[in-house]
Amino acid sequence: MKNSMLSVLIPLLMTNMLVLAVLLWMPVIRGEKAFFGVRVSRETYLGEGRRILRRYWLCLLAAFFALEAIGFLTAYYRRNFAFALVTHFLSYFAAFALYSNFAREVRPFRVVSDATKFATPLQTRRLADYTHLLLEATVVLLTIAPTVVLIYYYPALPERVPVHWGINGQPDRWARKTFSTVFFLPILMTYLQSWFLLLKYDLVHAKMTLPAEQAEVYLKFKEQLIVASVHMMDWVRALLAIMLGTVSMFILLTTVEALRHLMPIANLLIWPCVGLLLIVCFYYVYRFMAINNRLEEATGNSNVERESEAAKWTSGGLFYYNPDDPALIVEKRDGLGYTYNFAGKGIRLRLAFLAVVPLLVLWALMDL
Amino acid sequence: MFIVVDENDRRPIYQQVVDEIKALIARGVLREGAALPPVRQVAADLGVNLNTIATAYRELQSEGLIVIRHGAGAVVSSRTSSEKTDEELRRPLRAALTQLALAGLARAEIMSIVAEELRGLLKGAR
Repeated sequence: MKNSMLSVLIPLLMTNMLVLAVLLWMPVIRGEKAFFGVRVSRETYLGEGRRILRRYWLCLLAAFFALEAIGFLTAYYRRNFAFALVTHFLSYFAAFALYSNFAREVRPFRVVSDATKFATPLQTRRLADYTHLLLEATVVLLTIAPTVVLIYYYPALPERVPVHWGINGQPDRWARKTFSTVFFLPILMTYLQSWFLLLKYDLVHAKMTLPAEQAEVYLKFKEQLIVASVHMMDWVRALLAIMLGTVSMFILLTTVEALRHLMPIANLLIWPCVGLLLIVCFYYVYRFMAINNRLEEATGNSNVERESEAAKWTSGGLFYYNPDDPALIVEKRDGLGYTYNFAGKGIRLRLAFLAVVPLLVLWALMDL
Repeated sequence: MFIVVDENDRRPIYQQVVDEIKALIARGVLREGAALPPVRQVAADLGVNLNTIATAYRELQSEGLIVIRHGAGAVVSSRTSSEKTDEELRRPLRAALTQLALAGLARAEIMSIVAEELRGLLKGAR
């Protein structure tokens, strides 16, 4: 019993340490360009900023270790690792609260532009211009096919079906055959793919703030940033379709005798995809930074903000809420990446997609 | 092909948008059948209210320069603004010329300014 407890608690502790490291690093990843998500002056960064950072580190470490200790000790003595899980997630909330609280103390440096002339290209931004039909067809096919195949084979599946597989592709957990144990993955995949398509649509329609003096230069680089984000989305969507499509077939490949010989091949397919997914993510983060730096070299300021909009950011540039802004998706104020205008038209649909995630997880857990 | 608005300009924003688009139509940069971007995109980029751009588009429509089809967006329909009498066309010109005369410019200077502006306006026009 003690051993199995430790096998849960140790990975939990390790993920939490990793998250803690990222959280400690987060305010200073990009130096003064985005200190707590806010562009600050060099003096602020080295003076007042250091003091804010040190207090943030102290509070964060204290909160993390206190919550972790409480969770682990309770879990260990009560023989129930749910306690550790609860404090684990509580520590994320605590970290978020601390981050936004300290971010509020940071004084921004000249994010607001003194430009009064702004431009817009008379060219409609359309999703179709960023769409490769072959890729879309593949994604749609890989998303729908598993559902169809599983519906066809459903009566042939045994009463107990595998729900989890080890690294070598051998099933290591089984459950009763129900709608959710068989169809959870295809439904999750359909949901994720529709969400990502919506995200891609929003990205293409992101708002661009173009000062009139250098409108062409700004437009060129901002389009490059959108193309990079869209390409990253496409890679993620394609790889997810392959990975989840394959994994949702595992249930068939392990229980239907005639298909069993395909299992090793399917299992082998997963790992290159995981690797590629990581490479894609790292590559595009690098690419965003490179484009952003080039824009900054060319214009002197990678992101231009209007005074009326600067006041609408809360939690140190984490959230943007501006009912007067017709845009639904805007560039983040540090110039890297995009975020939603939480007062934008259609935001409810996007939030509904987000709200479905915990519901799906609960649904999956109910039948296991 | 950009349109620019200036927050410090005395003209209302919608009028600036109208004038910018008209200039592009007059120069032939925006040809007949060219689609204008959706109101929301223009408004977001320029940082102005949706209604401001909608008003500008309606103004252009009422002058017969664009047609707005529901769902399909706005399309440049003509390179000539309709429904204006000779007198209506001359009135703003007369006002502008009066300004130049009051500024103390000689007849030849006014003529050269007018010619220069016209060249600039029709630059690249077919």
